[in-house]
Amino acid sequence: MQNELRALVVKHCQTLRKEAAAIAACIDLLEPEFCGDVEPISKAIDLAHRVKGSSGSIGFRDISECARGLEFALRALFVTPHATSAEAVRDARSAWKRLKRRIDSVSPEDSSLFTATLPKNPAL
Amino acid sequence: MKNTLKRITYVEDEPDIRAVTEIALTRIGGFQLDICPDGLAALAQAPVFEPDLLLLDVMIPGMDGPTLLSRLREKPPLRETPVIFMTAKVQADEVEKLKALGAAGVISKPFDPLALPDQILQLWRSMHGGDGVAHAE
Repeated sequence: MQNELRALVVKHCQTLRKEAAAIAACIDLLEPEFCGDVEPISKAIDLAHRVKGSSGSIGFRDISECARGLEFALRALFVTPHATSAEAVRDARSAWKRLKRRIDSVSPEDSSLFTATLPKNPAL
Repeated sequence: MKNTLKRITYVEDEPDIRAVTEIALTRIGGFQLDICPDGLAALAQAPVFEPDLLLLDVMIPGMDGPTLLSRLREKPPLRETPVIFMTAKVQADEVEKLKALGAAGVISKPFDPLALPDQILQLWRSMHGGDGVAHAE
């Protein structure tokens, strides 16, 4: 079972890189002052939400926290008054940089599942 | 409602989460799992599998978890099958909405897969009392 978990952790590192590329494509479309181009932002929110749930469940809690920060920052774009949208865009870009930096350097050994002591089911 | 939990229909669209949950629930928990990647698969498979428990992700493409639950409830074998939702939206109002649909509990994402079998068993037992909300450590 440990080998299965480790193989999954390795696969998830690849998944994270693909999802990061998809988020990057959305963030690249973010104008310095957000003026309501909703589609790429909505897609980025969905992707960040997905990374938050999956990475944390596969032992990458710090990546999950970075993704949570990005999701929060992107959602803020929809509720920020236009006058302060440039600041909100900067916050979103900063949150994205934190997540990207972390995913760029991710390795399977970073996952808590990689070296976890597995509980045994007495019924098996 | 059965007292013993053995068979679980699990619906989740994200492949890596599906895989880690499968390892946790079958290899650690010892449950029999019917895995569905989307709502349509669940509608086809669950009535045949006749699970003791439905474990549903909330955000699945095409048909969200609550909509799927209402469709599953139309199937005679699943009219009273207990349900647990899994979601990354764990604000109190979201949890209350899910519990108002009849959920026995809500498991927040991210979750600890190694603790998941115990979380599910706790919620299964809480159907006889308790708050029905399980949080990962």
